[in-house]
Amino acid sequence: MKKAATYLFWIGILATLATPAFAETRTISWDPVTTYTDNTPIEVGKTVSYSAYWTTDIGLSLASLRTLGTSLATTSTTFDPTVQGMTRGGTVYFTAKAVLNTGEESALSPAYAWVVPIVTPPPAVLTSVTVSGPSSVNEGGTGTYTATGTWDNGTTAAISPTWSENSSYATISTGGVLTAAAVTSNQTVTVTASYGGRTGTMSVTIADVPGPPPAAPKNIGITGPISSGVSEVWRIAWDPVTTYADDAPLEPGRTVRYSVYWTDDPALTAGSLRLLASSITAARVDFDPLAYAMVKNQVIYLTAQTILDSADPSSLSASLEWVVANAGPVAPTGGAIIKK
Amino acid sequence: MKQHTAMRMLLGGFAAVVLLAGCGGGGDTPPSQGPAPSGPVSMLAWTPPTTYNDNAVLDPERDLDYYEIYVRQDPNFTDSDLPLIQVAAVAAGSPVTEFTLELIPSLPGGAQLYVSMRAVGIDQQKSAFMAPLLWDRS
Repeated sequence: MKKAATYLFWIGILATLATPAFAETRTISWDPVTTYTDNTPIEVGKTVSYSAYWTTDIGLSLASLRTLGTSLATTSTTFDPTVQGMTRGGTVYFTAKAVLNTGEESALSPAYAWVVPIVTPPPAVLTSVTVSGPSSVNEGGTGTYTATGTWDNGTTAAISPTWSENSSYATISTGGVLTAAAVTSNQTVTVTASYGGRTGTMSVTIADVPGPPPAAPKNIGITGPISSGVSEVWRIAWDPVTTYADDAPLEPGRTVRYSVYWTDDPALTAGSLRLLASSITAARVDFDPLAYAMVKNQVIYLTAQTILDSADPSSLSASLEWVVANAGPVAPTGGAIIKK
Repeated sequence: MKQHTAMRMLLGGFAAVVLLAGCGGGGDTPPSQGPAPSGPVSMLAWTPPTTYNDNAVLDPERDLDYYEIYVRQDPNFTDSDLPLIQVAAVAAGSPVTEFTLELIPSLPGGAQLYVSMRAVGIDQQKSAFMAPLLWDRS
């Protein structure tokens, strides 16, 4: 019986493949065995497979061999040095043997030394930024936001991003403290953390917090007509509102507006109110009774309401009863100049 | 048509309002209006309003106080014009419907003038101007 090929001719460690998870894959290959040790060709019909091993023992003692692969039909195999437990910077030795399908085996090939390279994992790549913090901040209040980066190696860490916010309803500091402005209704803003070319966002509701209502207009009076002619214009005026309903003074910068209504219902029921002026800033309004379909001698009731920052309304003011004096006579007609 | 029997004159077209009220019947020369003009006179005649601007019914005897008569050299009467004379709306219980223009003091110069008037209610609301009339004094 002929002995299977004794030697394998190593080509070497061919390639390094890096995967996103930083797995290092190496390939070891060898020349195919086609002859017996006496250089006679292996007969047709016999197949050759290979078993590959590594060890730190240059003597290739059987007990030290660790299998890279057995019954390999190909002349190469791959391995991950880390997975194999190879010591970085250390020398390992590869060996292999050929096995015929008849059961004949070669001797182990000579050791092929290889210094396991010391590798530095590639720098992790930031893949996402996540913003954390309160999803709602009351108007006038603050909320603190933090950001977390996630890298492609699976690690996460707190980061110090550049903060931004996309509206006039809030501002955000470099430290991620969001300060909400006064709003008249709930507003949604977007908090953005930018870091390393990545951004993370979070929607935040700036919540409208109903405050104390402003005081209702007082001392409503009517004067006029302030202009004559076909249209009689009358003026409703009241004391400017400078306080809340509880008499606390309004803060500087608050915008006070007024809406004025009239009705023929002394109870001022909501459904009966007809608008004379809406959200005006002056504490007066001029009106032509005719333009509002007020009927002469009709008893009507005038009332006004304070609106703070276009949102928080006061109660209706005490009503002012007024007898409509809106319609002057039509002009004389049939004019003629007759000489006598 | 009942001739005017009372008038209020704005002397010089300004502040003092003088009621030259009187009463009398018809005739070419209004009684109690001061000196009667000599020669032919020009009578301004009109139809009193019977409604308010909101179409409510107006009783000229009950609801009108007086008329304001305006005279200009052009027909462009405006709210800033001052009346030259006020004429009572009711005299002797009847609506006044005409007035002798020559009785107006301080008339503007010119052979051709324009005349208009406004009705004033007892609530002092005024009508619009009546359509201007050309008064040819030549």
